[in-house]
Amino acid sequence: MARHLLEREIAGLTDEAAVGAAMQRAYGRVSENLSRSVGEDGYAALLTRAMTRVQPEQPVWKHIRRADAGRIRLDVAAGVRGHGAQVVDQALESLFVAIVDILSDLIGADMVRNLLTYDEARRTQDNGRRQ
Amino acid sequence: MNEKELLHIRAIATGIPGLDAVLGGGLCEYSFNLIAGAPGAGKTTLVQQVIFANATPEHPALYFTVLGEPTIKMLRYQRQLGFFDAARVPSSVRFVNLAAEAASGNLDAVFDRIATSVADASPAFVAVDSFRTIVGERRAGASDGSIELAHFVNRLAQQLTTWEVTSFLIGEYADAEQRHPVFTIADTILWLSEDVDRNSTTRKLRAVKVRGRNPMPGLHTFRLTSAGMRVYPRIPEQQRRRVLRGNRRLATGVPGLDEMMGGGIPSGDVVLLTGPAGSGKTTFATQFIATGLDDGESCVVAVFEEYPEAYLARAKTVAVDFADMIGRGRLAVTYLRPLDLSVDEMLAEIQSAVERLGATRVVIDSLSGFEVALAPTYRADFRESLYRLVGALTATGVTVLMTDEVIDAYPGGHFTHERVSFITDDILAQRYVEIDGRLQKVLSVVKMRGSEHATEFRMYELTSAGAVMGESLSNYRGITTGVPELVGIPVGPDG
Repeated sequence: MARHLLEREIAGLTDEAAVGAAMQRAYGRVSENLSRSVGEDGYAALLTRAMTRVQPEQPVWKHIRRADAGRIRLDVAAGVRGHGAQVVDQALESLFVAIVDILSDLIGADMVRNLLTYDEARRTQDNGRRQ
Repeated sequence: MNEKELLHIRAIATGIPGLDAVLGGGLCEYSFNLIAGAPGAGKTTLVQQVIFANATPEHPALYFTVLGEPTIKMLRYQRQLGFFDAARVPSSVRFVNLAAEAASGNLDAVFDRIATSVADASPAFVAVDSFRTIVGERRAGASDGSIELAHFVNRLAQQLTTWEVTSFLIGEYADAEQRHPVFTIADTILWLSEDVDRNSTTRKLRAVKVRGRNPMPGLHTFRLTSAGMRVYPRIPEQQRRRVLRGNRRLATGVPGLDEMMGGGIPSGDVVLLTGPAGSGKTTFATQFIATGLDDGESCVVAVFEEYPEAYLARAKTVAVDFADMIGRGRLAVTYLRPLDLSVDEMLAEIQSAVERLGATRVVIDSLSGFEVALAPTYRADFRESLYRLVGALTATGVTVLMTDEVIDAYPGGHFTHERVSFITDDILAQRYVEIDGRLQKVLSVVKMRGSEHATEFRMYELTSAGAVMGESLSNYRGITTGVPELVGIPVGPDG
C-alpha cells in the first residue's frame, strides 16, 4: 500500500527534482485524504506518532521535517537536495508504512486502504463518466 | 379537479428494525431530522445505521464529525457494529471532519465547508455529529449568538432541503432545552433516553415530532447490540387487527381436564393456570403444547425460570419429542435475557416466533418469572404491560396459556392475583389439601368466559407420563381451607 501511494505519483519520472515534487504530491494526497476523514487534529496526532517510529532510524528526516505553528510539515525537496531522491523515497515509504500500520490497528486495513485511495478511485470513475 | 391533490413524499426505510413503524412509515425524503439525547444514548448509531442502509456510490452520504469524539475513535468502535460496512467507506459513506471550522467559532466557515462538500459530492444524505458542538462553540464565544445561531440553523435547514438531501443533526440536549430554535425548524425530532433503575438500564426512544407522518405515541424501548439498533414499538392493543374466534375447542392433553372445561379450551382464549410451587403447572403447560404438536399445530413456549435446555430435558416425560419439533420448525422455545427486559421486547420475540411458525398455541411459563425478568422500571406497569401483551397475542388468534405461582391458593377467598385475572378468559387453580394425613393436589376450574365448566374440585396426580386428573372431591367440604372434611360417601344406584 505504502509503495503504491508513492508509485502512483513518481512512476516514469527520472529527473530528481521532478521525483522530489512528485513525492511531495504523494505526501500531500495522503495528508488530504486522511485529514478529510479523521480531521486535521486526528491526522496531526497520527503523523506525530508515525514520525516517532521512523525518525530515529532515518537521519534524512532532520532535513525534511519542519514545524509550522505546532504542526508537522514536510519539505521533501530539501531532503532530496541533501540526501538524494532514493533516500527520501525510502524515508517516505517508511512513514507511509507507519501511518498505514497505526491507522489499520485502529480502524482496520480495509478502511485505511479505501480512505487513502478514494481520490484515485473517484478520478477513475470521473474519467469513465467523461468518456 | 375538485379533489385536493396530495404531494407524495417518498418514504425512506431506516434499516432499523421497528423504527419505521414508530415513525409511521419511515422517514420523509429530504426531511431535516434532529436526533437528540444524552451522551451514549445511541444517537450516532441510529444515524449511521440509517445511512449505511441507504447510501450508495450514486447516492452517497456525507457524515460530518465535529468536536467531541475523535473521528478515528468513532470509526474504530462503530465498525464493530454489524451494519457498518467498511468497504463502503468512503465510496458510499464519506466522513468529513469539521473540527477546525467548529473550533474557530465561525458559523459561516462551518456552513461554507458543509456547502462546499455537499456541492462537491451531491449526497442524498447529510449528517452533522454533533450539531450541538457547533452551537456550543459559537455560543461560548459570542456575546449574543442566539440570533446568529437561529439564522445559521434556518439557513442550513433551507439549504439542505433545496439541495435535496435527507439530513440528520445529532445533538446532546436536556429535556428543558426543547425551546431551542432547531426544534421548531426540524421536520422530525427523535429523542433518545436512558433510564437507570437499580441495576437495570433501559433505553427508550420517542418520536416527538414527525412531519408528514403519523408516528406512534409514547416511549419505545430500544436495544443497542453488536448488530446495531433495534426498536421495539409500543403497540397499542386496539391498533392491531383482531382475528375472530371460532368455536373450536383445544385439547389440554391432561386426561380428564377437557371434560371439566366443557370439552377443552375455547380456541383463542387466554388461560391462567395458578398454583403453588411444585403443583405441576409446567407439566400441565407442557402437555398442552405436546397435544397441540401431536394434532399438527405449531407452538411457542416462553420460559423465564429455566434455560431452554433444561425445559426440553424436563419435557421428555411427554410422548412428543420437543427437540425434534424445534428442528422441524413446529416449536419455538424462547428465552430472553432476564432482569432488564421490556414487555415490548418479549412481545416482539413471541410474535416473531408465532408468525414464523404459524403457531396456534403459546405458553408463558411463568408470569412470576416474567415479572422478575422485566426491568424494574417496567414492573410498576406490570398489569398494563400484561394487558398489552395478551391483547396483542390474542389479536392474532393464538390460544395463550400462562402459568402463575401463588404462595397460598385461595388466600382470603381469591383464586389468583387480582392484577392478572382480569385479562384472562379461563382460570384453573391448583392447590394442596390434606386428606387422611396425605398431601393431595387438587384442581378447580374457577372461571370460563361464556362456557359451561365443572364446579367441583378434582384431585390429580403427576405421574411419570404426566398429569392425570383423578377423583372428584364432591363428598368433601372446606376444601379451600386446605383441610377438607368428609361429609359422606356418595350413594350409588344400588343403595
